[in-house]
Amino acid sequence: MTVASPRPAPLLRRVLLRSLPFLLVVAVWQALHMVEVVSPALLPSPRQVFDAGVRLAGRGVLLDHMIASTTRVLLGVVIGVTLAIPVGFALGWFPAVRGFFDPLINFFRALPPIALVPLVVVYVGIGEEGRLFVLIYASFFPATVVIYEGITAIESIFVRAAQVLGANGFEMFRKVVLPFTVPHILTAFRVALGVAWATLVAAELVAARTGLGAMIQDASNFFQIPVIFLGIIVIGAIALLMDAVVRVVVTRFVAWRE
Amino acid sequence: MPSESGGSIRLEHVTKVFTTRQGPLTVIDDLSFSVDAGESVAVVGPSGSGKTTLLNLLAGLDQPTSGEILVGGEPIRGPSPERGVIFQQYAVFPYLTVYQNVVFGLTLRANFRSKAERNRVAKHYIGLMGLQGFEQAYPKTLSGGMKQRLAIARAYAVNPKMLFMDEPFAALDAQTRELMQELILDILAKEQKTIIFVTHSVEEAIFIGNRIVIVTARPARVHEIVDVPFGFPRQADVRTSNEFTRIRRYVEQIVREQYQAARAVSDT
Ligand SMILES: Nc1ncnc2c1ncn2[C@@H]1O[C@H](COP(=O)(O)OP(=O)(O)O)[C@@H](O)[C@H]1O
Ligand SMILES: [Mg+2]
Repeated sequence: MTVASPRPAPLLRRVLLRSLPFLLVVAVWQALHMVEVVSPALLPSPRQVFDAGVRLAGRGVLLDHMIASTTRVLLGVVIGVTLAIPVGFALGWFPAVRGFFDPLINFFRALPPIALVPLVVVYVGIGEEGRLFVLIYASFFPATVVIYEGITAIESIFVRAAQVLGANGFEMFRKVVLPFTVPHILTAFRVALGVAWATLVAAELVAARTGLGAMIQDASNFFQIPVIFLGIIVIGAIALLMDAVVRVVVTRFVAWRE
Repeated sequence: MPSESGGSIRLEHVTKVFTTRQGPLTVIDDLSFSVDAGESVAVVGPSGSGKTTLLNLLAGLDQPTSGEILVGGEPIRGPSPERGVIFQQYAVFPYLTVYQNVVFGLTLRANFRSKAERNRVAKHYIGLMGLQGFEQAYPKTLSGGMKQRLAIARAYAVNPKMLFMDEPFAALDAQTRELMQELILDILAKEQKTIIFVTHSVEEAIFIGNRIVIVTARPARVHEIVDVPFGFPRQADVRTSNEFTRIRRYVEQIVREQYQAARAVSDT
């Protein structure tokens, strides 16, 4: 039934292949540093950034920042997507609701969350809620759009097939709409994670003392450029890792997909 | 065995008009015919003649603009598990395994059965449809013919009195199509239903139907009703009989005229 998949390349080879583009970037970076296109004071070498990493990691500071940011992002994304699920269903299932709210959703989705930071500080305050709010906001709108577009794409033939077998309204939702939506909810999760990581620095503009975004801002105030680089790289790396994890979960959960 | 009460169908002056951007489009026009319980009636017409529209009306998924469809003497009020539908696009649920698809209807309140009962029914129809060994497979791993067998098993599982089929084998290759036609006759011989079978294949219509309703090119009206003189159970070799060829020629001649009429319609 299931066709044997071609034997996967050895793990080591795959890891090397995947890291090749990154190694290339580091090489170019090193070269730029050496030919001094920009002043070496402004463009640190990979080595300097690495050293900054070792130094901060050694004191446990880096890990604290990583944990703070990751927790924040996950919390923001989970809350944002959880809120997006019922809203996405309502928009996807009732064309009239969609027609009415669609422009609003697109308006808010288009707003860069960083533009909201001053208002968030005023309305929500400078506590953890403020930072979370920015991340929830950033996750909610794209997740809503992914989910409702997924629902609109359900082919009516499946709805009709369930109807003629006797499904009532609730059963239609539970046994047809929901299963078709699971992959889209997972996609929404992936998209929201990406957006949330991209928004992290903005969120941590809200008076954060911990977190990678806060670390970058502090470093910027003290002109510690290697630490800024370090922060950016670590954010990218965690975002990439999480995306890979979600992708694995997706293939597990929706084995039925063509 | 046309004895089961409630399995009879009567179409009375059924008309269906769609509102389109170009104005009203009459797809079915004053269509009347009846089907006795236990009959197998094939409806033949060129594509675009409103066959799918007709099946949607029979299934209760859509309402006639005027006229009435009576099932067992009662007008249709929405879809019902009494009236099963086999769609051309199979429409098996891709996120359910073969087993789960077959018992889908039996997990609904309308025809709920216990786990043990579901297992028994699933085993029975999975066996009849030759899907043993694939119980845990997802539809994506099945061929077109197997998907349609799965759809038939799923429809039979809720034990409908009537079964409506919309060009169910049109997407299959010629060999598979013939095997599927024989399979349908087999299962009908074992567990009889009232059948309305829509197709544009004359040969399929004669092989499966005991009457053939030839509809005109859009809008669909009854052009002629032809009796098929072969009884049931029917063997595959009737296809090669002279009588079969004779009827086939006759019906094809009429249908060809309708195709030409359809082309004339679409050319304007
Ligand atoms: N919902 C609809 N709205 C407008 N036109 C429709 C609709 N459904 C079908 N039609 C039109 O009705 C005609 C008959 O369609 P259909 O019943 O699918 O024919 P067939 O199944 O015989 O090929 C076609 O011209 C089609 O475009
Ligand atoms: Mg059709």
